[in-house]
Amino acid sequence: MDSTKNGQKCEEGIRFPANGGVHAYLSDVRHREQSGSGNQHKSFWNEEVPPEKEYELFSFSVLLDWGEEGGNNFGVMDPPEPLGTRKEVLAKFWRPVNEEEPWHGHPISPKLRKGDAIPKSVLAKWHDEFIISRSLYMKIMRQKV
Amino acid sequence: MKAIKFFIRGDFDSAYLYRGRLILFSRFSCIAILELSDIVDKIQEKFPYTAPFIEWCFAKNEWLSNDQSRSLLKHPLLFRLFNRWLTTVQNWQPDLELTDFRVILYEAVKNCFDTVLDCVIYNGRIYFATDNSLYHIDADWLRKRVAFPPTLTKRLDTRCVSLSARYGAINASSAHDGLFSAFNEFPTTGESFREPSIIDGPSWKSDWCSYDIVNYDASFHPRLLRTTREPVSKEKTYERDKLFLTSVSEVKQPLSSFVGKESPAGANARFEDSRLVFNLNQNFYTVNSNNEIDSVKLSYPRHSNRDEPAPEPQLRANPQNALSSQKLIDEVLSTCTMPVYDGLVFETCDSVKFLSKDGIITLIDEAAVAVKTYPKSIDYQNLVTVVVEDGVWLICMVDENV
Repeated sequence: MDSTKNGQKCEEGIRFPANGGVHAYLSDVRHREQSGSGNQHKSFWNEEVPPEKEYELFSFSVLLDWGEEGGNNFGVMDPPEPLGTRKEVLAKFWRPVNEEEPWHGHPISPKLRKGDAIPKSVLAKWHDEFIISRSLYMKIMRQKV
Repeated sequence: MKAIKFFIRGDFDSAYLYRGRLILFSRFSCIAILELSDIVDKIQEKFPYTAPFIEWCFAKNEWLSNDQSRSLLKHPLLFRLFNRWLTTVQNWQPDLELTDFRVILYEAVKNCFDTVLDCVIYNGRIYFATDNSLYHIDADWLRKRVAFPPTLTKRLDTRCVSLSARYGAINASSAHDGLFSAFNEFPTTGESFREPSIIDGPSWKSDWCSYDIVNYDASFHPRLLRTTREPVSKEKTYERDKLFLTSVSEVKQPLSSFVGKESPAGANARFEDSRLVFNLNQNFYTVNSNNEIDSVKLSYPRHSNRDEPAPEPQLRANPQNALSSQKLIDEVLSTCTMPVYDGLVFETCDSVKFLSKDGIITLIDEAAVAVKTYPKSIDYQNLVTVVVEDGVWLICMVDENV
């Protein structure tokens, strides 16, 4: 395996080991456009979000508890900026079924996919802790982003 | 074109103008109602130089939106005074507090929901879409002090993101969950409300095209839902609507499918290639990838023989339209039309702007929480309400050339 700044390159992407309360994470190559996965249903991180920044967002999401108890985590930049190639500003990080496995994530859009809705508790937390503006909160609520 | 505006500080989700009142949905789940005449009186007291035209702009607004007022303002003396006044107040942006005014608070809505995502008032009834439901309240607007019933009525148990109401019907867009509609909303005594039923798939917005419903299942995918209707009985009033809807067709057709012999070349492609579509009644506007606006009109052929099925409407060229050939900008998040000036109010991620034949002007230089225009209103055709993070802007668009 090749080494990157913090992670190790592997066939599936770049693997970041568990560190300081943050779970192990895989920056999955299937969510990178250059992977040529050809899956039009997959969302892709844009060029402004390299694997290190993706992992950093995941770390914030874990440390700041932007998730549901025992469920998945969610992410947004502060201030918000496009994360995905379809201008998605939100991200979802999937809890692995097997705890030994790393988490992985990708940009999401509640507007484009019903399953991408942000849980109310997470949205309320972002709003109450001034991570997002009222305007963005309403746009997420209206499923306009 | 000039924008005269003032700001009322507070935490609001949504704002609406109706029958001489400003209705504000507070972030803390209550409804505040302010009299526009009281607002104007207090402003004139505080800023005497705003008199007398501030009243014309916000409280007796019909003077600026009809031909009678335009001819009155063309009188040289009045025209000169009005233009001098516009110059004085064009950069005037007073910051007012809710406590500056007489406010009626309706708190029965507390704890029923977290966030009001849209509101519409039709035939005296306040409909509001929230993060978990659609509600309505029948307010008595004829009293000097608006009266409310002790409870509100829940109509739908799902998140609603946008509303439209006309012809005795209420349409509630529920994003991925579809478009819900209830007809015959004001039945004779004894009949109960009908549960809104789903009439189409995913919906972010609905609007009206003649008597038909337009469902936007994305910002560039309008579909036409044909309706049937009956005349409203004489003893009833549905605002100014003379017909009420009775049913909606099972067939939902994309606008691009209404191409016929008289349609301009490529009318269907305009819809397929556009990145944004909006409509004002039968005028449909498409915005292409170069941000150019084009307009087509959906014409309904005359239908004299009632024994035969009504002929299909057809897309026709609309060259006289003022917005056609105008250029929009990138990243438009939502649009509201203002027919009185053939204008368009649009929202970007960090501003609210106005487009007319004179070009684009910025109304608000910050991200909006909710934007509304009142194209069907008599009195508020040239007003815009913009809710922002810490308050609400009331904006009156004025054509200085009258």
